[in-house]
Amino acid sequence: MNRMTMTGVARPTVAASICLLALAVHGEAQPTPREILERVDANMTMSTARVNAQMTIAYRDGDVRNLIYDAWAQGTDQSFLEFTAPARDAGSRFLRLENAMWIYLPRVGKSVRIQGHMLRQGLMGSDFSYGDASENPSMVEDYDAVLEGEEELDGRRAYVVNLTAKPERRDLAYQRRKVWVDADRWVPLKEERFARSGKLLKTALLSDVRRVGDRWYPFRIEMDDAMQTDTRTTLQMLSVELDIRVPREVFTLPHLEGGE
Amino acid sequence: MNFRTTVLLLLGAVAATEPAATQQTLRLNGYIEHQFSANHYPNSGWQQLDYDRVRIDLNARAGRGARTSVAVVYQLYRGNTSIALADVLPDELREVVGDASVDLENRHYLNHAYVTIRPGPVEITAGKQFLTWGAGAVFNPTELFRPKNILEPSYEREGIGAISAKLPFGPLSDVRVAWVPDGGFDSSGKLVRIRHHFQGFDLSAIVAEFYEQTIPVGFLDVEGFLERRRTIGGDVSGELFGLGVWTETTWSDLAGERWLEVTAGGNYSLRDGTLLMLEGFYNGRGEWDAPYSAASWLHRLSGTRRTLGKGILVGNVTRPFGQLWSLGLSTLGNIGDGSGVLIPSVSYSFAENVDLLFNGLVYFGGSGTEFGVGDLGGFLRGRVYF
Repeated sequence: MNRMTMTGVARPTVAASICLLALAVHGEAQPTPREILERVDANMTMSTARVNAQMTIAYRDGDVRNLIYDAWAQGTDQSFLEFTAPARDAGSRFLRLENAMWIYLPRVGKSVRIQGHMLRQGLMGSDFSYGDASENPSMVEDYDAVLEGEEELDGRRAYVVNLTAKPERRDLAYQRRKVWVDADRWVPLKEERFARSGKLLKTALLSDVRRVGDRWYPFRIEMDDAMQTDTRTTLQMLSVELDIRVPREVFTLPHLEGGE
Repeated sequence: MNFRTTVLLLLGAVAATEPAATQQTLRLNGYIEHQFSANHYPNSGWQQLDYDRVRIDLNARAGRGARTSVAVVYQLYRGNTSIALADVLPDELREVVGDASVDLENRHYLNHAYVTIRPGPVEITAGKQFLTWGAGAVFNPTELFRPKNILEPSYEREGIGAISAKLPFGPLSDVRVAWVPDGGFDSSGKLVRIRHHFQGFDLSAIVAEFYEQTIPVGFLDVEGFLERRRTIGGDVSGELFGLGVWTETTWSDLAGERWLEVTAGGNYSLRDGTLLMLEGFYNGRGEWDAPYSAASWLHRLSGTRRTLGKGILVGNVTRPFGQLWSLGLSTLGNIGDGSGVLIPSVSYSFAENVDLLFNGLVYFGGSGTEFGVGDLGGFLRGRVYF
């Protein structure tokens, strides 16, 4: 079954993993944690997607940088992203296939492999890492879940779910997650991501939830990397198309190097 | 064609594409760069050299896989634009070169200019294009036409006039054939490169034939000879035990002279963003120790030979500070003659489209060694993108 993250390479996993959907509706019995994860995964399983988004990096000293990109994704393991602004980064492209990633440097005319250890680093200096784009976003396959309870968040009823990486997924960058899921629209509203030691690594806030086809989708994601204290990054979707036709050659090295 | 004419033509091209072409897209961007550099030579003391550089990139897509890419570069030099060969050669060769110098002249050129079409599965590119590849961070034996500046390997390079065809046979696999016209068919360069992704590793193999100057033209008014060179090689890159690793090698034959070149390296990044890199390079064409021959020095200065020595080690540590600042320290060392160069660097993203970079150069080693000829230097560079 194909599944993807909505934000493409830049923040695909953030959207996917954060966008947990639940199954319960008002008046129904409280869902089990696994049922919540299954609904989340089901909601996030689009065959393909195309996203145009603006990434805003706000620095503690007041400086603000804006980047705009187009991204295409197919299934859980194929995505392609091209920055179109600012001028400095225009033409920089990223290709992700399974857990491998390549970057194309337009002024050098060469594609370069991004090694696994570099996936932890911030994408274009943002609070989003390369690795966030490379994880398998399947909540059910990757994590065991415990329902902690319910809370009200931004005026909406939310399930609070604690996730712990399954023993066979010790390779995941985030061994624990705490997710607040909108209990009516089944969209994640907040996520905290932790290291194996329990140290908080990242906090994400999702908002501007809109209807796209038969799904609810967060058009705004704010990410705060606890290790990167002088920045805060906001991803604002400008347009989202789901389950569209994407040419197969988009997810290839020749396309990365040519871009046509 | 002067600068103003070119700019007007480029802007005209932008305007002309607006309404009519339904499938055509056009992107115009570039940068203005200023660099101040100073180098201290044992004989002549401090020498200053500045340049202004303007690059205008034009990329157009014309539908059905057709596209074109052009970059025009104008570069104006100021300061001491005449570099005495005696300043960059060892003492024992100074009498030979006398007052000879390399003069830097203002220049404008096409960094690259090519057209790509895709009739069916094959992609054909004609024009001055990038034939750049290889997994090595600093040394790429499989890059045969435009070697990197080993003191600043990430800086952009010119393309090379060629006709190439690329046939994909998978998402990460293709065959590329290139012909680099130079005189007649026999004297032109030809190469075939295959790349593939297997078990998490990127692999490639290359076979090439081209002609190389045995003595570089342009120095001391000496005419060189063109000799046929045949090269085979390849590279591998991937990840082992959490480390990024790569190796790249070629074996070459130039009129009976045969040699091996091998690069191997690895890198690792820490959670705080610090990137560590180590690379070794074996140049079978080099010599284990000084003194090096005059011909070797001239080849090295002209860029036709990557190093004088047989064994070179490269190390680099780069650490970001606050996302906008980055500090780095690189070193290149010749393990045979004990010479080397330290390159401390500071980069700062001043604004969304403004970068500042300082690179220092601290050479060490005795007279006649690979890096010992230099003394001290560095540059400060500002670049504004548009």
